[in-house]
Amino acid sequence: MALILVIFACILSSLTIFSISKGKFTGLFQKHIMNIFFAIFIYLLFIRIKIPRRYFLVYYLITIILLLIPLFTSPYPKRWIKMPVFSFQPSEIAKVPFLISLPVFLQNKENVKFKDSIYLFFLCFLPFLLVLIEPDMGSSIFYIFMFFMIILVRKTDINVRLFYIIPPLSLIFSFNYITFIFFLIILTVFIIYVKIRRLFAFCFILISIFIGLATPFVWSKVLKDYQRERIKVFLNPSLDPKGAGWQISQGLIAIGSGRITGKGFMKGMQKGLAFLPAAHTDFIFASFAEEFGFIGSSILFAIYFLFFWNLIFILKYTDSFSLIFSVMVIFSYLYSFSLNLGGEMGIIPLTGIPLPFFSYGGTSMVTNFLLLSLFRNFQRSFFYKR
Amino acid sequence: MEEKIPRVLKYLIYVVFGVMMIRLFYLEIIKGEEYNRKSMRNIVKEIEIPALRGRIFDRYGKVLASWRPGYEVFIEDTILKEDISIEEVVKLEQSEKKIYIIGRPYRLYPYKGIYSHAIGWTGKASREEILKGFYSLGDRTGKSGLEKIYEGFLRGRDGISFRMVDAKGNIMGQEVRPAIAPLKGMDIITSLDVDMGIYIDSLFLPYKKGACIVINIKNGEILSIYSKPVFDINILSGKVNEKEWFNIKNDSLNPLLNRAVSGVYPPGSIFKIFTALTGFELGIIDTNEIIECKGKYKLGNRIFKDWKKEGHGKVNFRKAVEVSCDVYFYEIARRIGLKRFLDKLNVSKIEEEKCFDVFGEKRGYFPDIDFYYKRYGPYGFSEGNVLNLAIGQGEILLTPIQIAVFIGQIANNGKMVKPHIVKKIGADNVEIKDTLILPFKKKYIEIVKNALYYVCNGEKGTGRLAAIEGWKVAGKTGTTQNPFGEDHSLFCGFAPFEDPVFLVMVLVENAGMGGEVAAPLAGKIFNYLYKKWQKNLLP
Repeated sequence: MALILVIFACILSSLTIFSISKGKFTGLFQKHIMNIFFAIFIYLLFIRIKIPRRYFLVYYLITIILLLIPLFTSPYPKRWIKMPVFSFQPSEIAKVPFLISLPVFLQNKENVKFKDSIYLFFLCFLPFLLVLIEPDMGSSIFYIFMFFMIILVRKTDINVRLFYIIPPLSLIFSFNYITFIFFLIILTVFIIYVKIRRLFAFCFILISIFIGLATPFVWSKVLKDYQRERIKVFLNPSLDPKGAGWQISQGLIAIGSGRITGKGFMKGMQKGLAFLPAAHTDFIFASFAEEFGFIGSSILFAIYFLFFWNLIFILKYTDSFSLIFSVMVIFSYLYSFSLNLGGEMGIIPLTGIPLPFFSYGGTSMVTNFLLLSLFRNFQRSFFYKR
Repeated sequence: MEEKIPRVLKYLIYVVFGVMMIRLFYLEIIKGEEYNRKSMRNIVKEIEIPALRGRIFDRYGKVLASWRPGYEVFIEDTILKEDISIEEVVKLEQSEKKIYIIGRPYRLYPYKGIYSHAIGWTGKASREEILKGFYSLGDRTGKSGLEKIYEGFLRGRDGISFRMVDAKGNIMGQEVRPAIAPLKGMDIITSLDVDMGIYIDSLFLPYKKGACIVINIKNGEILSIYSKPVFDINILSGKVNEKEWFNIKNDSLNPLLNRAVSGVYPPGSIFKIFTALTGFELGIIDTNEIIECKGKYKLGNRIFKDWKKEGHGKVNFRKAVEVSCDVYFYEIARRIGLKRFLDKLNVSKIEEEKCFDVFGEKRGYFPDIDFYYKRYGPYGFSEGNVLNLAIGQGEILLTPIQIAVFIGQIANNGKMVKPHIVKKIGADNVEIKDTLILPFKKKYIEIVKNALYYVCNGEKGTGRLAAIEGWKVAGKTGTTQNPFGEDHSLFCGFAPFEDPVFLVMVLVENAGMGGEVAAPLAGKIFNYLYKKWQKNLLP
C-alpha cells in the first residue's frame, strides 16, 4: 500500500518534471524516470536482505566517513561525493546507516538514562556539525531533530528531557522579552505540575533565566553588525531580498496563482520563464501547485497523508530495534515533508530540503526508497525470525 | 516487554497536515486572485507600438510630411540603438537576447527644406514630457511648426503589445493577450502650394537671406510662407546627425529662424501708408494739395534727406505714394506730431501676432512716448523723431507677416481673415473666421489703395517692376536702412487690383532698393499666380 502511494507521488512528480523540462523526454525528465526506477530497484533489493543488528560502531563509522569525504574532496559547497559514473549527496544517504546505528545503540536500553542521553547527544551532534560546515543548514538539523525525537519517544526521565529542551527553547524565546516572560511562566507552572525535585526545578529555571538574559546581551553587545546580519540571513534566508527572499516570493506567487483548479498541465508560467530557479528541487511543489491548483495539491497532500497513515497502520511492535527504527523513519519523512513544504509555502525559513518521493534528485529518491524498504523489511522480519 | 507505539507520532502528523492544508487554502483560495495578478504582472511586458503620425499635405494633395519605417532597439527600458535598418536589427537579434525591438515610423519630408519652417519638425519627447506621462521613451513629438501646433491631431494613439518575459527580462516572443492596435494620427491638409515654394526657392537662389509670403486675402489662406535659408528637416526626424545639427544651429545665416514671422525689420517706405492713413484720419491731408520736394526737408536746425537726392519736384498725395517721396511724408508727419502719431500707432494693432497656426510668430515693436523718455531723457528727443517713424525707419520693427496683413487689410477694405495654413484636419474642414480689422475709416483706405495702384503702374512708380501682363498689380515698395550692410529690399503687393485675391510679400535682406530687387521677384510670383489662376488651379 505504502509503495503504491509512493509510486503515485512519483508519477505526479514525473508529470511536474516533464512540464518543467518543457515536454522534452530527454534530459531532466529521462534522468528523473531513471532515478525512480533505480530507487525502486534498490527498494526491491533490500526488502528481503537480512540486516545485521549489531556492530553499532560499523554503522556509525560509515555515517561519519560518508560525511567526512565531501569535506576533503568536493569544492564549495562541500555536499557531493563525485564518482566516475554518478555522484551523490552523502548527507542524504548517510541518514540510512545513521538511522540503523541509533536503534542498535538503544535496542537493549529500556529507558534513556542521563548517561545514555549524553552519549546519544554527541552521537547526533557530530554528524550535525559535519553537515553544518558543508554548509547545509537544513540537512544538518535533521540529526539534532532525531536526538530530540528519541528522547521524546523513548522512555526518558522528565529531568533529562527538560535538561535538553529548556536551553534551546529559552534561546528561541529570549529574542523578545515579552515572549520570554510568558515562556518562563509556562515553564514554572509546568515544572510545578510535573513535580520534580526542587533542586532540579530551581536549576532549570535558573538556566532558563540565565540564557534569557545572556542572549540579548550577546546579540547586541558582543556580536558585530555583519555577524548579526549573517545570523539573521542564515536563520531566515528570505531576509536576503535578491537571493532566497525573491525565490520565496516567486514560489508563493506560483502556488497562489494556481488557484482552485490550477493553470493546467504544462501551462505553468513561473518556472518556464525562470522565475523559479529551483523549480525541480526546492520548489517542485510550487511548480506542481501552479499547474494543478488547490484540487491537485489536496490530492497530493492526501496521498502523503495516506502514506503516513499507512506507515503508522502497519507499525507493530516486534522488537525494540524495529520499532525504534520504524518510528525514526517516519519522523525522517515527516521532517523532510514539513521542512520542504513549510519552506515553499512560507511558513518556516527555506532550508533546501527535497520533498520525499517528489523532488528531482537521485540521492534523495534512493535514500527515501531505501528507508521505506528497510521499514518494511524490519516490520516483517519477525516472520522469518521465528 | 512489549512497547507501545508512541501516540505523539499520530498527533504530529495531524498537526503538520492541518497546518499545511490551512496554508494551502489560504494561498490558493483566499489569496489566489492576488497571486494570479502578480503572476501576470511578472510575466507580461507592455511594449509600445508607435502609431503612424498623420501626414501633412499641400493644397493639391502633395505630401509634405509622411513617414518612413525605422527600428529602435531597447534594452531594459533604455534605448540601445535608434533609427537602424532591418539588416542591423536581424544582426542584433541574433547576438543579444534581452533586447526588444519596436518598429517606429520616422518623419519623412519629401520636399526637404521647402516650407520647412512652417511644417516644423519632430524630435524625441523630452524628459519632462515623459515624466508627465503623455509620452514614453523614444516617442517622437512635434517640436516646431505645424508638427507642434497640431501635435494632438497628428500624433494618433500608440498601441500596446503584451509580450511574455522571463525572470531575467528576456522577451520570449509570445503575445500574452491580443495587442491593442495603434490608432493612426489624423492627416492635415494645408493651404500651402509646394510647387510655388519650389519656384520661390529658385527665385531666391541669388540671395542669401529673405522671406516670402503669399496669402489669399479673401479667406486668409497662406499659399506660401518661405524663409531663406532653408535646411533639410529630414536630418532631425530620425537619429540626429549631431555634426549636421551643430552646423545648422551655429550657421551665421541662422537657418532655424523663420524670417517670415520671426524676423523683425523696419518696414521702410511701406509704412508711409500708415502715415497717410493717420493724416487722412486727422484731416490734415488734402489729396489735391501740392508739396514741393527738393530732396531735403528742414525741421528746426535738422535736415532730413529724401532718398532721391535731386528731389521729386512738385507732388500731390497720389504722386508722393507712387514715387515714395520722403519729403511729402515728412511734412505730413510734422503736421501730425509725435504724440498723435504714437497714439495712433499704438491702437493700430499692426504689431500684434497675426497668424492662426504659424509657429514662432513674434510681436513687432512700436515705440511709445515712455520709450523716448527712457531712451533719450525728457529733452533728448523732439518732433524730429516722428519724421523718421513716418517713413518706416527708426524704432519701428515689424515682421513680414505683419506688413503683409497690413497691406492685405488695405486691399480688402480694412479687414482680413487671420492668416492660416490648415485647411482640413482629418475629414473636417477648418474654417477660420477670426477677422483682423484695421482701425481706419473705409474711405481713407480706399484712397490709399487707389494710390498703391500707381506705385506699380504709374510712369515713375517705384514698384513698376512688379507689374505683369494680365493682372493689374498694386503694392508698395520699401527699402530699409541696415546699419550692418546693404539695405533690405521689401515689396508688398496684391492683385488683381479690381478685386484683390492674392497678396505677395517679398523681403530680401541686404539686397538693395525695394523697387529693384523685391518688386521684380514679386512680379514673377504674380505671373506664376496668374498662370495658375487662368488654369483655374487657384484660388
